[in-house]
Amino acid sequence: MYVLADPLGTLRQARNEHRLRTATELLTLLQNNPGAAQAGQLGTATEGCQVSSDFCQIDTPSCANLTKLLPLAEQTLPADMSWGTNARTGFAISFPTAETIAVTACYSEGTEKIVAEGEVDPTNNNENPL
Amino acid sequence: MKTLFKSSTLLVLFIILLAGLARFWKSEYVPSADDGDELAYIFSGESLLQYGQPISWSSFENKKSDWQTVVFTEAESPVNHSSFFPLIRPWFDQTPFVPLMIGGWVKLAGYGFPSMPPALWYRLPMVILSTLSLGLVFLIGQKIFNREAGLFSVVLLGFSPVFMFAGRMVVSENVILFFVLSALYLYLEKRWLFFVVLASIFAGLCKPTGLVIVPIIAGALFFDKRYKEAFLYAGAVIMPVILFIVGYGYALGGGEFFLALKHQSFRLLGWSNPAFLLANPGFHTKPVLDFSYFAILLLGMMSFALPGTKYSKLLHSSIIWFLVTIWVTGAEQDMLGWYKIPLFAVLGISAGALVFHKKYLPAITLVAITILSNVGFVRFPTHPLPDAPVLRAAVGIFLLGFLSLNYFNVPEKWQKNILAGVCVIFILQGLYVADSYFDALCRDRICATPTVTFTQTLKELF
Repeated sequence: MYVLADPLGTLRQARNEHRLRTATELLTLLQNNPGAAQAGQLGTATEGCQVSSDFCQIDTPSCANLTKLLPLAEQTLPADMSWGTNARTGFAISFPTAETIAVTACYSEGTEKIVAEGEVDPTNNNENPL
Repeated sequence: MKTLFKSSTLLVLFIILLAGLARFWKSEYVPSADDGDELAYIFSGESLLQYGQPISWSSFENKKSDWQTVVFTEAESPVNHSSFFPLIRPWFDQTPFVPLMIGGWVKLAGYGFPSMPPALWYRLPMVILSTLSLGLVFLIGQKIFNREAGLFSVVLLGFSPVFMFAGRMVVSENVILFFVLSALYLYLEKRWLFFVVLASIFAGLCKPTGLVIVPIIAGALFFDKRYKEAFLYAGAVIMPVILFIVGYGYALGGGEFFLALKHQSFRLLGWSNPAFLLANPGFHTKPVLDFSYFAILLLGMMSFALPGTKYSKLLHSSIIWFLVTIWVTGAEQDMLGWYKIPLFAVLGISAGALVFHKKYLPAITLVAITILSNVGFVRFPTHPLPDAPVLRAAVGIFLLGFLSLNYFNVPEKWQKNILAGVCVIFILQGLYVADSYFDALCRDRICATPTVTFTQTLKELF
């Protein structure tokens, strides 16, 4: 009944839930590979990766490419459901403190900020986490 | 004496249901259960329903829209190997109608985006739809010619191995066929034009090529001097279809929709495509040496040479409209066999003209050649070649039969019964092919073998 009453809202919520799952996956990937990426938008593009949205302000022109951390078959990064591509995923990495890392969904819908945040384990040097 | 062709409605229903059963039986095996062209519709439907975004894989060069690759491990896949699909977003290779239909169907069984449901499940709606289309084939054949002609068309299309396999596939053409035949039948039955419009709109919503029904029916109305109705009908079908497709594309993709449209509309076509299409038997991406394909083609085309009935011009114009539609939309020497499904359905209906005009000899000859030729269609590696004497004896018997019918004055009634006899053998052979084709094809090579099968599901249920 809820789906019928507000189909667009339901789809929006589903997309945001997908964004949270994706951000959490990316966070795990980064936690398992400390030092693998610098702050910025995730993606394979080497230019045009600046983002100015309600949730992200990124000035770095090149994206943080984590493709090499993925198994051979996947080789593409998870991207935003509505706006992301493999080149510019719509997810951003930031380091709120020296010990923490955050993955933000730059294009989440609504007012809620979607971010997955966790501690970096400097002792973990797993080369192939997935 | 009542011949087989004169029997009751029950016989017609029985044959249509038998053809439906042949479509269902081992439908999870052939075509391959990890067929990418079918999965493109499924991914798109799943993502549209779940996230309001069309995401799927594409063979067009939409590199700018690369989204991400999804990987299905052997455990997640309904076949015996892992698979991966690079997906793009937004996906505009097809209109949302068939993806939503099939996406809704797989969602009923709990499959969300991105998942590969078992072919046994996702092909079921197509099996039902293609069986219903066979019912329409009969009704149209009966209306244009007579009951026996309609039944002959159902036998040809119902048990032709390649047409049977095509009827299982999740492709727009199977849905288009159902709506196009519905529109034709409603028009022939002189039902309220609104229903013809409705069926035609649905055909167009499946894929813009479904709008081919518009010139067919508008042309018939026009030459019937019903000018106003012809224009009203064409406008009432084309306008909502274009508005829906453009509205959908613009809302979900804006410029990317028009880019995808451009990629599709300006692909390389070929002058020689009719030769390529007709020389390559089958309704998938590779030619399949099933002679029933040529039997349908030749018998259907023969109807052009026979005296017309009131509505046979409608059928002939349908054949040519479907042919030119494939010609101007199919890629150069790229075998996208399912494009031919509507064409061969109307050729099959048209083949009924031979039975109607009591020209039994060509029908007997081509069905008999199909039976003989298709002995080699299911070929197990343990006996890959027939012994020369066996093959020559079989062909010799066929030749003797043909010469007897050709030179001796065999009464029409006998010829009709002989046709009924070869049709029964053709049906039995079709059922055998439905059961054995995968086993024969895949015994000496690696095929994608479904891990969810009908027999296994039955065992689990009971």
